[in-house]
Amino acid sequence: MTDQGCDKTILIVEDDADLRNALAEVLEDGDYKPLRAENGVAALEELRTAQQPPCVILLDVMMPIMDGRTFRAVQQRDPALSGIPVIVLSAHADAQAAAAQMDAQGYLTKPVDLGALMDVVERFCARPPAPAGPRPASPDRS
Amino acid sequence: MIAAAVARAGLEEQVRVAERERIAERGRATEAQEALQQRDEFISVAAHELRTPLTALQLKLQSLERTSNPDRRIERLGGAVRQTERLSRLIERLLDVSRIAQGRVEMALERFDLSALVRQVADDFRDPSLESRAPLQLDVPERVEGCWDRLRLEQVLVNLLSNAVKYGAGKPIVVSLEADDHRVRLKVADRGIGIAPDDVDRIFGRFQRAAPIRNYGGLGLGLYITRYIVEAHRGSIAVESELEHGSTFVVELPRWSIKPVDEHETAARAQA
Repeated sequence: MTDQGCDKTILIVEDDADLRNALAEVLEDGDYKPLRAENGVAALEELRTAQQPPCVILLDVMMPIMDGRTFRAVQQRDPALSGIPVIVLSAHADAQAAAAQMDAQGYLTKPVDLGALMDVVERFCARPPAPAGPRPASPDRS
Repeated sequence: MIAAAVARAGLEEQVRVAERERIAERGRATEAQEALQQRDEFISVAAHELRTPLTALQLKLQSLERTSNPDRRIERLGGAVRQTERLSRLIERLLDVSRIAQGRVEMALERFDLSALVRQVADDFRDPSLESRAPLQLDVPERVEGCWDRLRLEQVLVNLLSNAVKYGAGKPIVVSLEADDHRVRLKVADRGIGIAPDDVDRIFGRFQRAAPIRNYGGLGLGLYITRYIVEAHRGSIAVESELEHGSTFVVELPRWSIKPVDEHETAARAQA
């Protein structure tokens, strides 16, 4: 059963157009509603104008204009957005460390496995909306 | 007394020589250290660059198992093939560096219309340029024939346009081509993030980039390979740039009667 608060909406923040579209395609296959942004600035615009907050944000780290770390810092400072969980997408070996530094709720290492991706989004779309405010002390790593 | 002075002078000279050798040795050790660090960084960046299309490829292939819609399956397979082509281009680029270093890049000169090639490459960039919201404007004569290596010049155009799209901050990109009887001048101008004056000279070097790696991926090889190809055609490449106002890359090439530059000569310059 999914939480109707986010209505299976997922925000993909990834600068590589091919990967962004591939992620959106497979999420649509699973009846999710992907929103797309090519950098942190576009993601903030998307979040502030979205009709419904997404269940989870899939966040690339290395992006032009505004990278994932800066986006995450801005998101955490905004009470209206800080409750939305973030899963870091990273191609680097230190993805886990990057996710911990960004106080993210989990991470997926590129190349991303489809099963792992669907498990993660299912978990976040199925849980009740997180309250806005301080982040949990012990992030739940995927 | 004279003998003692001579002996002292000899000794002092030996000390100076030893000191010079010690400094040179320290310099060589530092250079080797820097080269190792540069290589390790490059391997890390290359792994990152390869994993991005690999993820798109993997998702498309794995999703085939979950969809029975024939149209969707065909579309996904087409997308998967495009990702393998992208991976091939990345690997080719890595191999080009090794070929350049060894002077093993062969030039295949032929007569063709450069205007048509510019239009074709610009057309291929229509989608990427729209993705980054950077419209492409072309100012190209009807026909500019000459004698060059078609595939290598296509590579030059792709490299310059990729950079313009990547660093162009979504603003218009202008590609222009001018020609007289002897030379052609190709310009690719963006109005993006630009290059700091201190970085302008080094961006044509191997593994070099002016933009921070945390924001912009890439192997740091595009302009290095571009300069090599242009110089192998006995041409030149230069850039005019201002931070936050964009960059204009200008390539000048002779039009006819090109005898390719000796491979080893160009490779030696590329190493410099």
